[in-house]
Amino acid sequence: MDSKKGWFSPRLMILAMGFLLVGGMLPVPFIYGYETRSLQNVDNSAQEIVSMMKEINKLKHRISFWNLFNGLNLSQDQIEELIAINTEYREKLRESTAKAIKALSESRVSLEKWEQAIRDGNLPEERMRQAGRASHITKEFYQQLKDIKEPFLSRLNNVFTDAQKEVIRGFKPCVVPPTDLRDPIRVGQASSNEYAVRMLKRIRSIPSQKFPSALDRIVDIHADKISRRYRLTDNEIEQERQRMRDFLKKVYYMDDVDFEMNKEELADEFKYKDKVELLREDLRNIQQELHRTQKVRDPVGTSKIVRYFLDPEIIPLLQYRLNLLRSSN
Amino acid sequence: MEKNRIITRRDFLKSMARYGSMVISLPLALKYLGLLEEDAYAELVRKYPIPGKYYKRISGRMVRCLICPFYCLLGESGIGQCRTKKNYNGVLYTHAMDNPCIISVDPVEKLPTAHYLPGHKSLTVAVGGCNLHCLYCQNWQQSQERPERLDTVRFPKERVPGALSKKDLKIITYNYTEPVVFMEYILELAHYSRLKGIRHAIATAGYINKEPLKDLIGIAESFTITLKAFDDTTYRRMTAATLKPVLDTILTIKESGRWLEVVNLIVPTYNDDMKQIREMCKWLLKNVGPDVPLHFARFVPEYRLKNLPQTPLSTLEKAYNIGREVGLHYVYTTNVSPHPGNDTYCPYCGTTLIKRVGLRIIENNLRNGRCSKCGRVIPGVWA
Repeated sequence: MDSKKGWFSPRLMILAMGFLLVGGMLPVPFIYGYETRSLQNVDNSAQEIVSMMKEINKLKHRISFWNLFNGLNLSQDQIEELIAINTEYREKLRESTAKAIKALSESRVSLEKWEQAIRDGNLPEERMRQAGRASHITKEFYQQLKDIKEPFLSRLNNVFTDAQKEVIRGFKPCVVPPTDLRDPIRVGQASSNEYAVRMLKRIRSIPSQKFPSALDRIVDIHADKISRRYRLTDNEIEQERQRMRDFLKKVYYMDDVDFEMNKEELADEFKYKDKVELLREDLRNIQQELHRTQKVRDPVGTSKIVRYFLDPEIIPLLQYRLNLLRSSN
Repeated sequence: MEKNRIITRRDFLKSMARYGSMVISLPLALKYLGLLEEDAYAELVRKYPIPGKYYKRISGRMVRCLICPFYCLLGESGIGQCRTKKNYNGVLYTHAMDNPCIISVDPVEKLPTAHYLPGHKSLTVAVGGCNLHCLYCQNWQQSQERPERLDTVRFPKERVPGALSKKDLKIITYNYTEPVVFMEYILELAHYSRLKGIRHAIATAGYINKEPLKDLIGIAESFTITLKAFDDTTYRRMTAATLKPVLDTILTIKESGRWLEVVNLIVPTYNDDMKQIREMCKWLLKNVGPDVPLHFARFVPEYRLKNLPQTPLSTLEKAYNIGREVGLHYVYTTNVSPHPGNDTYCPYCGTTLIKRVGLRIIENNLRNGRCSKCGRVIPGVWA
């Protein structure tokens, strides 16, 4: 090989031009074919993800039901009564939906015509009236559904004992219920502070000569974690660093007995509460207040018993539970 | 040739025996010369010799512990079954003093108890160790370990009033592990706080001799006794203890007039025989009367019985119904909630007096210890 020629060679240039020419002459679908196909794949897999998510959510919904059932200790009579109520409710619902479908299809036609009219800028008064009525029909339909549920609410209320109602009231849908062996009620309650307490105990066990450096490291890790999670401003991060530093110092130098007696409160204090979360907490309190007021105005719509125990999914689950009970007896 | 000599098995064993015996005898020699401390807690435990009436010197340095019916015979440095008592030079010392492994603020219902100050909170104190070895123990990490080997808190008697007043508490409950094995500590706490109006409630397996029991009766207001089974073979199999002393404890407490509740934890395949449960209920009715509450507790797979399922609800309900059929006025189901068996009913008019969800009270219809409907007195400690 002639090394004097260097890297530039006319032969290499001709080869490169040839490649470009062939590439340019290729039909467009051939060049972009790969991309088009991959887009199509994305579309398909997106649909697959959507359907998978739907299935997962359904599964979560059912698991949550099982958790509720496990926590309620329903008797055989109660389950039988619940199945009877649900069967009757389904029957009533079927009857009224036949009527409702007719009304709703009429309202759909009216709304479609109204859409056309709006699109074309043509707004005849009659269509306007029809559209108004159509939208009212949907509202009426929701009210009808509530009316159907209404007589079942008192029946459902009679099925459960006060203690069971208390559990249903406090139930939060969950996949894995917290397993605190010391507390027998293991129905979707708020998460326990066990992990935070364990962390605090570990911090307290750090030897005193290592504590200052460990404190810096813990505060750094904490600040890094929350800033990544919540996108805080520099000022907010600095405030949180200071808060955590003061808190950990207090916990570290705290007397053993005081720590043991106050560990739950300390664990609460240990957790970072973002401003958004604090606002949400306020909102939750307001919502609870709203719920209390609404409960008087709209007992069916706000009842958790109705929400959980007139669910379309519930009959097969109750049936399974009943069979299990019958076989164990 | 000498350099490449292979060590034979005989040589190896010889040298191992020689060096091994040296290693073993070294600490003994150092201890003899006073250069080695017995253990890190030697200084601490020496401060707490247990009262002379709780043990007997047999001969030389041998002692016999008299606290529970195991009557452990301990040689020099011997440790009792309970893992809390140790013999030092013929004197029995306790390791369970001022060093609880659990301090927490709990509802008194956790003992469990249904007729003792319902809805009140208490300071729960527990020291490691237990004289029983229940196969299903839920706190085995603490109960089946020596107290000095656990992560403990220093909690001497002087600190008790302050700790209680900070949380506005008036009751100390002894739970989670076995209070019998740290009774010297309980007595110290009780005597120190006697004038400060602090009340004491004990949850125990009741495997204790009469003399020490009387001392506990002297300071505690309420006892929750766990009656593990109603035949001796099952008792031995499940706990390594025997039935008779527990029945005696129940009788002694009842005679003393202290508040008493009995718990029976039903373990599938061990003590779930309904005939046995009926016998137990009849014995309770005959010997302690219908007013002593009986709790049927659900077993949760733990410790050495993780292979078993938790007690079926139907078994608990059968036991509950047997208790009521036999004529006991206050039968409960615990460790299962919500359940109608959690509530207290008036045995005369059937009114629901206290409605509970687990350890929480959701409604209390008692009026000064009487049924709000028929006005009859409901036995218990209500205020």
